[in-house]
Amino acid sequence: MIDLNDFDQFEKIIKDQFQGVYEKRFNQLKDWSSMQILIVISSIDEHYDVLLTHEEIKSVGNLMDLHELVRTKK
Amino acid sequence: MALLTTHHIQLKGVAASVPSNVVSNRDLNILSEEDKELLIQTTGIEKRRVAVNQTSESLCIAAADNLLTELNWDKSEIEILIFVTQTPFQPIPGSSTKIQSELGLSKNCMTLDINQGCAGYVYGLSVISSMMEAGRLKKGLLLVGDVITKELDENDQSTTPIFSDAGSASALEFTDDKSSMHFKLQADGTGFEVIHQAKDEAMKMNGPAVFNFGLKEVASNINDLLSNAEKEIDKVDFVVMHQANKLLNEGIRRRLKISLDKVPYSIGNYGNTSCATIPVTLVDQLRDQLQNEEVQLILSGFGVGLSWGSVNLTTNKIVCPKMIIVE
Repeated sequence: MIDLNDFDQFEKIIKDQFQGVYEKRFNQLKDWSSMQILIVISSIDEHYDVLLTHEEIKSVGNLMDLHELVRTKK
Repeated sequence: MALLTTHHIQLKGVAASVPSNVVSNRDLNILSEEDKELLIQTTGIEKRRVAVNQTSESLCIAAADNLLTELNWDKSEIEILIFVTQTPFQPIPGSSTKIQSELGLSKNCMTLDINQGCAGYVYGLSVISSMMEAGRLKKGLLLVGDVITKELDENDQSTTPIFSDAGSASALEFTDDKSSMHFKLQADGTGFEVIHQAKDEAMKMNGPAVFNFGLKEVASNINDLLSNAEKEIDKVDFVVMHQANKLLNEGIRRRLKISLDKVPYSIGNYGNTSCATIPVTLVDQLRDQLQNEEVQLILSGFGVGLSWGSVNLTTNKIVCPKMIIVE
């Protein structure tokens, strides 16, 4: 069962999507490519049933802010 | 709400054709090695077919010629031909009359051109089956194809690695039995610019907007269709979706709560062939089942317009030639 408040689990879910690729710039959301953002939108939709837009993801600075955005949209 | 049901019209055969020229996304020089790997892994698109001398018309004619031979149909009995494309060889006149002539069909065969993209196969099927039912037309041909790669900027990372070219032909027949096709068709013109081509410019696509649209709309369209047809998704053998990209299609599949074996993919070897992805997938992935069994299908197209739609139909041992390679 996924706990929406568990940030470590959230971080792992997102990180697992990239299978080691992009490790270096993982926490700099502003530098993410469109493809990375699509992967994250899909992953959050799958695990949290929250559909974010590209613009919403671009509007947050880091993974912690992204986690908070998902929590508020649930 | 555009929920339609047509009666007495059966799909009797499907053929698809692709250009012989194969391009690998691994050879693209517009992406870094890291980005290429992620793109292939995420979209599922490794190879694409890119037209050189072929046109939407020539690809569809090759598919139709082959299908008519396999069906052994008397061409004089074909009373309607519909051609769906966004990439005709010339703007005026529509190509359907020339195709009628090149296929050697009768002057009693009416023709019609439809400008539609990713939802074009389903929209085309709804139009031809409705007209055939209304006029009790004996036999009809639906030709659906695009050479969309001719409209791309080769340096555009959001379109060039995705799109591919193909044509198709589907044969339909009026029968006295109770067979029916159920459709749900939708459109949203506020998304007009999400995928568009301005005059004298290359086609552009807002990938993230397409992605959110697909995730939001397609599964509910299919569920509404099933509900209207009083059918359950468990009874459907295959859901054949427009091959947009694997990440999006898998998201839709999850929302439908269906297993992977019910959702065939042709995208790995053929890419996103615009309006032709559904017949390409039928031929590439379901040929054996279509030829030998009764198969209950949902076909779902979605994209440019924005337009989307799904159809539920049953086929029974139809003619389905191997993928046709056009030189």
